[in-house]
Amino acid sequence: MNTWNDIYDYSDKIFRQVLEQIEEEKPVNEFSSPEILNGRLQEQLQYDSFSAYRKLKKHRRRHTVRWYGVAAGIMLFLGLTWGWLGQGPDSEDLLTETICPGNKKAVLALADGSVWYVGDTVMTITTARENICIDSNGLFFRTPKEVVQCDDDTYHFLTVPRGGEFTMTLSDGSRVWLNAESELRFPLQFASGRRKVFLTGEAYFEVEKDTEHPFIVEVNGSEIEVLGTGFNVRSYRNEGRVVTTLAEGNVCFRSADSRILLEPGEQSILNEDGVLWKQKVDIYPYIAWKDGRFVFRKQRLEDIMTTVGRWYNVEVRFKDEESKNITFSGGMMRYEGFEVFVKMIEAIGSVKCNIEGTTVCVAKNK
Amino acid sequence: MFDSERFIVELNRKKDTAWLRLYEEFYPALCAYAARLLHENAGVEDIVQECMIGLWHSSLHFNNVRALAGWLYKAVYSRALNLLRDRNNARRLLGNYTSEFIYSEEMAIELAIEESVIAKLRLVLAELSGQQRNVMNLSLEGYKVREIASILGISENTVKMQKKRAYAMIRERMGMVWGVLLATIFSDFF
Repeated sequence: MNTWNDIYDYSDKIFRQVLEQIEEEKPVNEFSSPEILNGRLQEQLQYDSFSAYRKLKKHRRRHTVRWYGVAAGIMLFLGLTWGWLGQGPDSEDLLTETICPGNKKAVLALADGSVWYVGDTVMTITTARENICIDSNGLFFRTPKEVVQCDDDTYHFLTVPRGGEFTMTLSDGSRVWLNAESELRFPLQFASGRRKVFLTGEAYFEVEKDTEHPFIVEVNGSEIEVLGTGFNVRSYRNEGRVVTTLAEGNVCFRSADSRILLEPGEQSILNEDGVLWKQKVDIYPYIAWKDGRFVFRKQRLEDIMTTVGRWYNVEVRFKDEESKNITFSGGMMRYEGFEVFVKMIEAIGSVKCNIEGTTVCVAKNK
Repeated sequence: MFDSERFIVELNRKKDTAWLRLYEEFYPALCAYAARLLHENAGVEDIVQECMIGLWHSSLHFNNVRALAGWLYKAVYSRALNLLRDRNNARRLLGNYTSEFIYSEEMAIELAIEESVIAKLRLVLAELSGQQRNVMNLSLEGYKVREIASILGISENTVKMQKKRAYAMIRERMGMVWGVLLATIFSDFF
């Protein structure tokens, strides 16, 4: 039997065998088949050893600071503000945390209790009922043939954090784009009769047409019923309203007290007091996010910052009321750096943005 | 070729370059290993970092890479085991008597060997350059020589040659040339 200390040498031996097998394309067992090897490789490749090591260095620095405290005091006095920190000058580690645009990342909490961090790495999660695959198109299911259709409602959660976005394909082929700070609760198989999912946050749905099985999105106590269509739902807790924008198809929005039918190009708003109404809008600013764009049409800076803050995962504070109300019209790619956004609003709006770590303070130029 | 003795000496001395190498080789493997033990990948990076931080603060010295690898994988296994036991206990308290599958130590060692093999493959592939790496990556994804040739826009002969070169390079890196020679020289004795 092997012991822990045998691991390194024994794996050397196995590695040589595996190498021979893949060179001659004669895998002896499942482990040396190219698909398995590649899958296992990808599993390891998703971890960033370099940034993990940087984190260790930061930790070490914090803990060695105590020892150098006295010397540091003297050196600081002498104006040498960086030389004493732990292992020596390493300007990269001394930079405040940089603000990055969002990227593909989410947390998948399955009904069986397991929790998976998913991103843009290709991976496959095997559960008792089916395989959940993640690739460049996001998350989708692959059901093994032997599985019997069951009626119970086992639901999974896909949670996208601030600074994240994610796409998924439901078992009926409908696609969902999830924006930052959003969560979708969905079943692996739609139970007979209805296709129902639960949403908090913002998502764009492209629902597969199925007149016999209405698709329902439950959001904050209301229900949106669709037959086959493309629409955007925005329901963030701190915004207090549910905004549904219809691109194509047909949608029926049902709140606790009333309901409204939407045509393409129309938008329904349910506010905190339960009042539901609809209006005609230019839908593009409301759905541009799924194409990777920020598009603002005469929007107040305070509202713009709520949206932008979610994507870049920053906290925004306004120093005066005036700056909150400045309106902007414009657009940019979401993936551009935060500095691009800041330059744009500073120039157009005559404001000054002070960035400290991940907090941004906005004030009107006097 | 990787000088493992120098690596261990500098690692024990807590040298930056050695610790960076430690992370390059072991961090992804230990994370994937923890994910396998826990049946999920949430929190695995924290577990591995805790082990690394613990190692950094300790005065533990290793005599060789074998001992280092053994310690690392065992440390991750111990932490994972504790986590799984806590989770099972929590479930029992809540009246849920299904427990998560916990790997025995013997099984855990076998899994660690597997992960270590993948780590070696990963390191060796990272050292290949340009065309060789492209060919090897595609080959591992399951593409045949003909398909690789068309994807990369090169001839099938070039693909075969690059593959051969890649394997030769890998063997050289692993010091395998000597290994094979020695095996053939001594095979008469065994």
